[in-house]
Amino acid sequence: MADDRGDFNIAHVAGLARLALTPDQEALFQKQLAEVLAWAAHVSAVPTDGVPPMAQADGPHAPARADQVAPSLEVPAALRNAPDTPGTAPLFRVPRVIG
Amino acid sequence: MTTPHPDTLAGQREAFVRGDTSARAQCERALERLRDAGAELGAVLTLSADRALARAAVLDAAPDRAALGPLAGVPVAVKDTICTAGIRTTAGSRMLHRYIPPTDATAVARLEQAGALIVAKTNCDEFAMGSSNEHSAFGPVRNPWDLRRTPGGSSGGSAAAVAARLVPAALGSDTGGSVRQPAGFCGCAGVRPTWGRVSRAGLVAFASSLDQIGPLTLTVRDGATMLQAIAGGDPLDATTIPAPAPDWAAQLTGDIRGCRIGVPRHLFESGVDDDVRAPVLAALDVLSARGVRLVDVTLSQARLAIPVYYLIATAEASSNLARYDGVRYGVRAADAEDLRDMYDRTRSEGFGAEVKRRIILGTFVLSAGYRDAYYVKAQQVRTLIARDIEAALREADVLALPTSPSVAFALGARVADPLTMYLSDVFTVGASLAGVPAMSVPCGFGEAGLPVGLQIVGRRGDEATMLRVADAFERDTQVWRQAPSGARHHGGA
Repeated sequence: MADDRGDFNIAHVAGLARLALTPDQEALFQKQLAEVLAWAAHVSAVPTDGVPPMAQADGPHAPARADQVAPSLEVPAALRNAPDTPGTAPLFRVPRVIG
Repeated sequence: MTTPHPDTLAGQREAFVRGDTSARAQCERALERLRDAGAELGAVLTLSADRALARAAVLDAAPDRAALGPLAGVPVAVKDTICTAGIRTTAGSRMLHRYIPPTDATAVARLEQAGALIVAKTNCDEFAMGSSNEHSAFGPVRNPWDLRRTPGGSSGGSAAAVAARLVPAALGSDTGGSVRQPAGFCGCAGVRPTWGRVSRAGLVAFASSLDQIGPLTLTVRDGATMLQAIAGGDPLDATTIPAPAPDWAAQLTGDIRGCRIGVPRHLFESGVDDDVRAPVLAALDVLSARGVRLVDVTLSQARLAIPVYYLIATAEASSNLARYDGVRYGVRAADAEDLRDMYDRTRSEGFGAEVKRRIILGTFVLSAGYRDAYYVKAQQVRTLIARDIEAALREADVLALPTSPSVAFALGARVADPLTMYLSDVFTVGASLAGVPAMSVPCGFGEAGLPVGLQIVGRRGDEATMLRVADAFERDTQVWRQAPSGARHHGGA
C-alpha cells in the first residue's frame, strides 16, 4: 500500500462523494483519515495469496423468486417525502440538467 | 415458574394477560416515563402515542388475552434507524429529520403482530455510525448510570431506555457492535443474531454485509422471546435465512453442563482495563461452577478486525448513502445552481461530520487505483478473520470475552479522535465480520459502579447455545436486577 498521506487527496475524494467541505473540514478530515489509513496499512502486510475475498457471511445468496408482478409502493406514497414535486404530475422535480 | 419481575418483558406481558393491568395503562406509563426521564437522558426522538394507544385498545378488547402473542401488551421502543409507517424516522440525521416512512420495517410489523406496543423511536448515532451516541444530529444520549458518560452507540437511546426501566425492551441495530456495546455500557442484555436471521427490510442501510437488527432487554429470556418474534425468512430481504425461528426461550433450561466455552485469554492481557477484566474473569468462574469446560482458544487475526471492519463498512456506507441526493426523500439544499450543486450542498448540509468522514474514507477505498489495495484486500483478510473465529468455534461451543475494553467513557472524551473511538469496538467487530451471533450480558460493575458486559459468541445459526449459556450465567448472577439510581420501578411491585 502506498504512503497514504501522500496519496490521499481529500478534495478529490470529497468531490467523488458529492460532498462540499469547508477548508477547515478539509484540513481536519485530511489529517484524521490519513491516520486511519496509516493504521489500516496493517492489513496490507497480511499474506493473502489464494484467499478469496468475503463479500458477506455464507448463507443463502439471493435465492431466485418467481418472476411475477407483485404489489409495490403506490405512487402517492413514494412521492410523499419528496422535497419538490410539481403537484400536477407524479414527478420528482430537480434543477435543470440540460441547458 | 416464579412470577417474572414486573420491569421485564415477561412480567409486563403476564400482568396484562392475567388482567392485573390493561395494555392502555402499561402504554401510558411507558409514554410518561419516556416523556420525562427519556428527555433527561436524550434517549427519545419521537413518541408514537397515537399508534401505541390505538394498538392497546385493540389488545384490551380481545376476548382471550392468553391467546395473544408473546409480547402482548408490552411497550417497546425502536431505534430510529428502523422504519415505522407514519412515524418520523430520522436515523439520527438532519438529512431525514422530516422523513415519514410509508411502510413498517418487517421487524416492527412482526413485533406488533406479536402484541407489542411501539411507543417511541430512540436516539442513535447518525446512520448508526458511532460508538458513543455523540454523533446524533439531535444531541447525545446520556448513560443512566452516570449522566456525564456515554451510553455507548450506536443504539445508545435503546440501551439507555431499557436500562433506566422506561421500557422493558427495545430494538437496536448492530453493524460492528451497536447493540452489544451499548448493552454492555448500560447493563442490559443485547443480542446480535446470525447475519441473515432477522430481515433488514426497512432498516436504514449502513453496511449491508454487516447490518443486523437485534433486541435489547433486561433479561436474556426476554431477549430470546423478542428475537423469536422478529426472526425468520422475509421475501422483502433476500439475505434472510429461510428457516423459521426456533423456540429459543424454551431451550433456556439452565443446564450447560459439558458445554465448551472458548476463552481467548491472549486478548485480555493488554488493552483491557482492570475493572473490566476482573468481572469477566469472575464470570468465567461462575460458568465453571455450572459445569462448563473452559478451553483456551487463540484468535490470531483479532488485531486486524478493526481496520478490516472500518475499510469494509465505510466502503459499503459510501455506496448505501449515495441515495441521499435531495431528490426522492430527505432534505434538499435551497437555491442550488444546478443538479451537481444541489447534490453537493444537500449532502454537505444534511450529513454530520462522522458520516462525511466515513463516506469519504469509503469512497477512497473504492476509488480507481485503490480498490484492490484497500477494499479487496480487506475482504480477503475478512475471510481469514472468519476462518479464525470458525476454527475457535470448532474447539468450543461458544466463545466468551469482554464486550468492550473499558466501562462507559465520559461524554466528549473520544469524539475528537476517531481512531480512539473506533477502537472501542475492538471486541465486537470480529463476530460482525464473521456473520456469527454474539450477545452481551451484564456480568458485574467496574469503575464508579458502571456496568460491565460479558460477550458470548456463538456458531453461525446457533443462537440457542449462546442464549442458553448467557441465561444460565444470568440465573446465578442476576446483575440486571441492579438498576441505576434514577430508574423508577413499578410502584409496590
